Amino acid sequence: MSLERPLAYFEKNREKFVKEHHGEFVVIHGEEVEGFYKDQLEAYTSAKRKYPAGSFLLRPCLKPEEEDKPTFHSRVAG
Amino acid sequence: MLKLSDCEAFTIKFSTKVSVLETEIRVSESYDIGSKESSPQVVDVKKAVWDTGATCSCISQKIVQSLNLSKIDQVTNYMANGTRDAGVYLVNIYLPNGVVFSPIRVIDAEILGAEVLIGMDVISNGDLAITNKNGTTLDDLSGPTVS
Repeated sequence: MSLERPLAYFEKNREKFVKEHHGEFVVIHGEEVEGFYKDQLEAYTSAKRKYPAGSFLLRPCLKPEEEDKPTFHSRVAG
Repeated sequence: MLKLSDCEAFTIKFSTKVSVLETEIRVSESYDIGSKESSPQVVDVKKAVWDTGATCSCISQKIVQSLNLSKIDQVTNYMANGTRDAGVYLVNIYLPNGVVFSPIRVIDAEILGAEVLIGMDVISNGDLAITNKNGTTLDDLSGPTVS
């Protein structure tokens, strides 16, 4: 299952999400926002009850420069 | 997240001086361990490498498949040899002394010689000390952090 649609929807609305819900976790299914949560596990549990596995995006509402960029200096190969 | 401050310290003593910090851990899909809901499947991982050069923790595709984990996000990884897109999963990580880190956003990756890589997202929850007295390595992660 692809996260292409919710990812595109997130990027399209990122500025608004960050402005209104900075640091919270958003759940997006398709192009629908299921909700904003302060607790990531609560967001995950709620989304799993409503949507098929692998069909929803769960991401913190942060500016691109605030996001963690997974970086590996050893061991992980492409 | 259950923090190290709740349990003081996690110490591993190796029989020799080692060049890689490896421990056994367990991993499951993330869930509220305080809830009454049935707990999900847990896998025992023989080799988890502690890597201060990794900003986040990783699990192998084998673990993703064993736990039937579902992707919740995707990110670009930055590695010495370039970039790679990876899936993000939400898991609980159980240390041998009973400490649980939950929830942890991990990515799937090909990890050389191990199934899990413990990165700074977990390590930075406490104070990591490595000592090598008398030719043996002692790895200690303790909390709360001290100044």
